[in-house]
Amino acid sequence: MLLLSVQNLCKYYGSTPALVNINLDVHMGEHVVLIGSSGSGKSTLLRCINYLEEPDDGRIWLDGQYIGGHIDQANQWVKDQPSELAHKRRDIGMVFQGFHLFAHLKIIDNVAIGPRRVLKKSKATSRELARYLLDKVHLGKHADKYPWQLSGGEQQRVAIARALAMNPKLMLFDEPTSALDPRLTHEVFQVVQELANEGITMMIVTHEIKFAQKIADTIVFMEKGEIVEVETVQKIFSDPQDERTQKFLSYVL
Amino acid sequence: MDIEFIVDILPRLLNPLKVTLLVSIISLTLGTLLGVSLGMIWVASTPRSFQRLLLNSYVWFVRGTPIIIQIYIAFFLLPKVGLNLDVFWVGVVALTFNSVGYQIEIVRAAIESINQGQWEAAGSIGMTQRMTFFWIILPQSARRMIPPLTNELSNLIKASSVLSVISLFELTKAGDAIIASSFKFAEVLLLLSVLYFSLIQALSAATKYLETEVFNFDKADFESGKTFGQIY
Repeated sequence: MLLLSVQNLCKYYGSTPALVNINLDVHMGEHVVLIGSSGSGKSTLLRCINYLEEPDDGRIWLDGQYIGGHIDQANQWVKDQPSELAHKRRDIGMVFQGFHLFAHLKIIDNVAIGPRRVLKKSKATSRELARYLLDKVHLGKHADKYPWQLSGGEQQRVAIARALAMNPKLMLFDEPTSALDPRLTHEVFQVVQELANEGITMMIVTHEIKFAQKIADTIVFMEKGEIVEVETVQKIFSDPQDERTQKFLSYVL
Repeated sequence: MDIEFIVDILPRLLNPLKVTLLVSIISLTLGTLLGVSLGMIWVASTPRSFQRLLLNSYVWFVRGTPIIIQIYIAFFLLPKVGLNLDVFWVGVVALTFNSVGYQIEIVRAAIESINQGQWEAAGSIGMTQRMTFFWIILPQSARRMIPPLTNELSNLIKASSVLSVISLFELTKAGDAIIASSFKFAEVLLLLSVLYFSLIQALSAATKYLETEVFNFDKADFESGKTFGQIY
């Protein structure tokens, strides 16, 4: 079943094109990994999907509705009010390269604040959910610490739990391990793998090709703001069609 | 140096000391309430908007004119617009007016110093801008406002001495009166300095406590990037 549909997406920074006419479908339970060199537009695509960056053209469709706007009865595109957009964003979890935990909140409250303040659940319910999710990312014993007391890998797993607390339909991972050493990278990927096994739909931008091979159903290769190739993981690594894909993979494999 | 004289006049300065403390603390508090509100408006407004021009003009005026002139303006202007306040409250209005000008800048700088990633992370869990501001940005900025606000408090305490020109009976005015009747400049000025100094030191210690013990969440100043430097 189709979950996400990116339609003719374009994004420019000034006159520089960052994304050119992107079309991509993601199905429920699918694990999509985006690869490509830095500046190819992978991160920008993720950031456009949840409207951290506003696309200049094109549509994002997620499970029955458009993000960032809707089509009215007269068939006209109407932009979302900020509160409507905020509401739609609950369905998309995002994990950042720089973690961005809320520095003034304890670990448990970093996870609980979404359910508490956005979903208006009771303090007890929110914290119960937060504890459950922290156990899930193997950080239950750190619940009462502050972010600065945790390693990078632990912080990133808290960030994953924080996103999961909103029960999103889609999880976006924007280079989640680029700031981590190999051991911490392994910790984070283990958690991501466990979530993947549970059937959570995810899109991951990463340079860790080995991990991509392991977790992905589909690989998207991007270059210069364009999607060059979308293939199943088996096919793209054994038999890449496009010359550019072949060249990129020759560097990393 | 007449130590006995100093001990003698000390009790007569306690009430004026209280006036100095009160006028400064009330002005700082009102100034913070207004400063945070106006600072938020500043941050939320777009460059070259009317609000921003107005707020900038205000800041420029406060920064660009001597406080004694601002005090005289309050003293002569308030009755003209029908506000016949007690001289204490004229002092509060003048000092608050002055302090807000500086605090807008303090608040603006503190809010803008919070990493953009905090806004993005809050947005990604469905928080509106307003929720993000109150639950995420403001608590973190508050801690960063404390050191400059401590500075501002010590400025206000010293600036309150200028309120003697509108004959508010605060510490400096009381000292002046004693000098006028006793001609013991050295003793009185020494005592005044010690009192101002002690007051400011005591309040600084209190705000230091606030900074390190109450807002104790980012000892490593986590989102400013220092953590990265330490771990990697």
